[in-house]
Amino acid sequence: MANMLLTMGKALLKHKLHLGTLTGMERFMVSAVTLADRAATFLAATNIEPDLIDPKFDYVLLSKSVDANLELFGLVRQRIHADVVAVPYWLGLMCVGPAEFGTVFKVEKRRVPYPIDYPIKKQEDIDEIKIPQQATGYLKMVFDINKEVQRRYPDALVMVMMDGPWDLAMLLRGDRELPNDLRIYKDYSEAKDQATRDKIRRFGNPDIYPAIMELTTQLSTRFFQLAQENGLSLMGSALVDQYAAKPIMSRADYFKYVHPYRLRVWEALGRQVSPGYQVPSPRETEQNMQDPVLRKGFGGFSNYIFPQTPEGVTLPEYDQPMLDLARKYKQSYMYMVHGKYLRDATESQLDATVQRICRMAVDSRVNLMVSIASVPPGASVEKANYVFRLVEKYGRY
Amino acid sequence: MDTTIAQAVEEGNLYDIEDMVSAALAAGASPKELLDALMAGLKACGDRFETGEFFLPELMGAGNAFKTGMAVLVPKLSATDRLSQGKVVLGTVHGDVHDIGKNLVGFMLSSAGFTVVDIGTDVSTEGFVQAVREHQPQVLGMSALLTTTMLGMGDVIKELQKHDLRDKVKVIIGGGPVSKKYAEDIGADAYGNDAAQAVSLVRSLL
Repeated sequence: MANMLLTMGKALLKHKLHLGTLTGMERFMVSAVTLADRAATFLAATNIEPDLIDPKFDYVLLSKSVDANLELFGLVRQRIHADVVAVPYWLGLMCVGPAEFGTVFKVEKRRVPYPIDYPIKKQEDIDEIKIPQQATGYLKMVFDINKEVQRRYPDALVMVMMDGPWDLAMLLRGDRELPNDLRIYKDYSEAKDQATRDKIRRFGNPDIYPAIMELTTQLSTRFFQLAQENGLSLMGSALVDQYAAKPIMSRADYFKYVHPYRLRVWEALGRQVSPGYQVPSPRETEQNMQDPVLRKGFGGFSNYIFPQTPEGVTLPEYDQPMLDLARKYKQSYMYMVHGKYLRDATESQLDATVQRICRMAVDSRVNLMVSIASVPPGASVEKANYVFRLVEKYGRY
Repeated sequence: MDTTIAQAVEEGNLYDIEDMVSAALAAGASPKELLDALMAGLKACGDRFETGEFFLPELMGAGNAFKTGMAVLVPKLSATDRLSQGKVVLGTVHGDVHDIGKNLVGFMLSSAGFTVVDIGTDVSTEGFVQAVREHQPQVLGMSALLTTTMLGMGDVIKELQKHDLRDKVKVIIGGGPVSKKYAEDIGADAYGNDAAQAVSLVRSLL
C-alpha cells in the first residue's frame, strides 16, 4: 500500500512538473486525482480469449495450473498496449469460491468454465456450508496467482475482486431459484396479515432467501479476509454484485433486499472494499452519487450495462450526460467498447466511435478511461491494440 | 373480462389465483373469458417489464400465477378457446447454461398468446433439430450469453439445412454477444437486441 501511495505521489509530481511522459500506471493514477495528459486505457487480461494469444492455452489447462495463468498473463502484458493490464486469471466464475462449496462447474477446453449444478437445493443444505478457515481450491489459486504477479511485476495493478452476497447466492442456489426465493420472501414480508402469510407458505419457503443471504454475507466477508491473510491488499478491491441490477431486480428491491447485506460486508471489512453498483443510465449514476456508500464504488461511472445499439455500441445520447456527471463529481468515465462491436466493426467504424467519445471527453475536459469488455473469438489482439492506439491519437487533452 | 383476475396475474398473486378462477367458474364465467383475463394480466406484466417498471421477480410471479390459474382452467377450455398465435421453440445453445434471457423472451411471447416450447439450456445441435422436427414451430429462437457458445448457432442452422428443415422454420437469435451482423453471417432470419423486442420480432416474421 505504501508503494502504491509513493507511486501515486511521484506520478502527480511528474505530471505537474512536466518531467517526461507518464507511464501507463502513472497515467492511471493521475487520472484518479486530476486531468491526465491523455485518456487512459485499461484491459482485464481475463477478458481475452486465451487461444487468441496462443492456442496452447485452454480453459482445462488454465483451471489446473497457476503457472499457465502466469505465463498467459505475461504474454498478454507483452502483446496488449494498454496503460494498465490487470486480472491475471482465467477461471470464469470459479475464481470467487463457489466451487469449494459444491457448485459444479463444467470445464471444457474452449469455453469459460460455467456452473451446471448448485449445492443449495433446500433450506437444510445451507447449514452444510461452513465458513472456511483457510483458502482452498480455486480461491487459493487466485490468491497465489495475484501474489506471484505482484512479485514478478511490481508495477502491475492487483485488484481483489470478490462476489458480494447476492452474486455468491446466485452461484450457490442458481439463477433460476434465487429470484424466485426473493419473490416469495418479498411477498411474505410485505403481506398484510397472517392468513396471507400462511397461504404463501403453501407455495414456497420464505425462509430460504434470508438464510442464504445471511450465509453469503459471511462468506463474502470471509473471502476478503482470506485474501488479506494470503498477503493481498484490499486497496482498490471491489465487492461485486453485478446481478443485483436491472433487469434482474429493481433499484427499490436492491436497496431493500440486497444492499443491507452488502453494507454488512463493507462494515465488517472496515469500509476498505469498494461496493460498486452498476446501473443502466446516467440518471441512476447520479442517484448513486447521492448514496454515501455507493458513491465510493469502483466502476460506477461506466457504460458497461447501458442499453446498446444493435451493433453493440452504447446509445450515443448517454455519453455527454455521463461526461457531464463525471466532471461534476470529479470522476473518470470508464467507456467500455463491447466485445461484439470489437469483433464485428470495421476499422473505420471503430475509428469513428473512439474518435467521437475521445473528442467529447477532451472538449469536456473530463478524464476518460477506455476499456474493452471482451476480446472474443472472431476479434483479435491486433484489433484491440488498434482501439488503444486510437485512444492515444484522439484522447490528448 | 374479469379485471380482478387479470390484475392478480399482473401483480403475481400466485397465492389467490386458484381460488379466484375456481370461484369465477362456479359463478358462471365462461372459460374463454377467464383465459382472456389471465392473458391480459400476463400481457400487462410484460408491458410493465418493457417500460422498465417490472423486473425478473415480477415476471416470475406473474408467470407462476398464470400457470396456476391455467391449471384450473385447462380442463374446461375447448380446442377453439386455446387457439395460439403461433408456436415458438426456445433454447440456449450447447455449452451455455444461462437461461434468464431466454426465459424473459419466453414470458413475453407467452403473454402475447404464442405457444412457447422451452427446450432448456445447453441444448445440442441435434437437440434443436429434433425439437423443430417434433414440435414443428413457426419460429425457432436460440440464445447465448457467451462469445464462445454463440458459435453453435451457426451449426444449428447448417444442420436444419442438412435435414431440409430450414425453409420450414424462421430462426431468430439473441443474447449479449450476438449482433445483427452475426445473424446475417450465419443466415438467421432475425436478431433481437433484448427480450422486450421478442414479440414484435416474431410477429414481423409470421
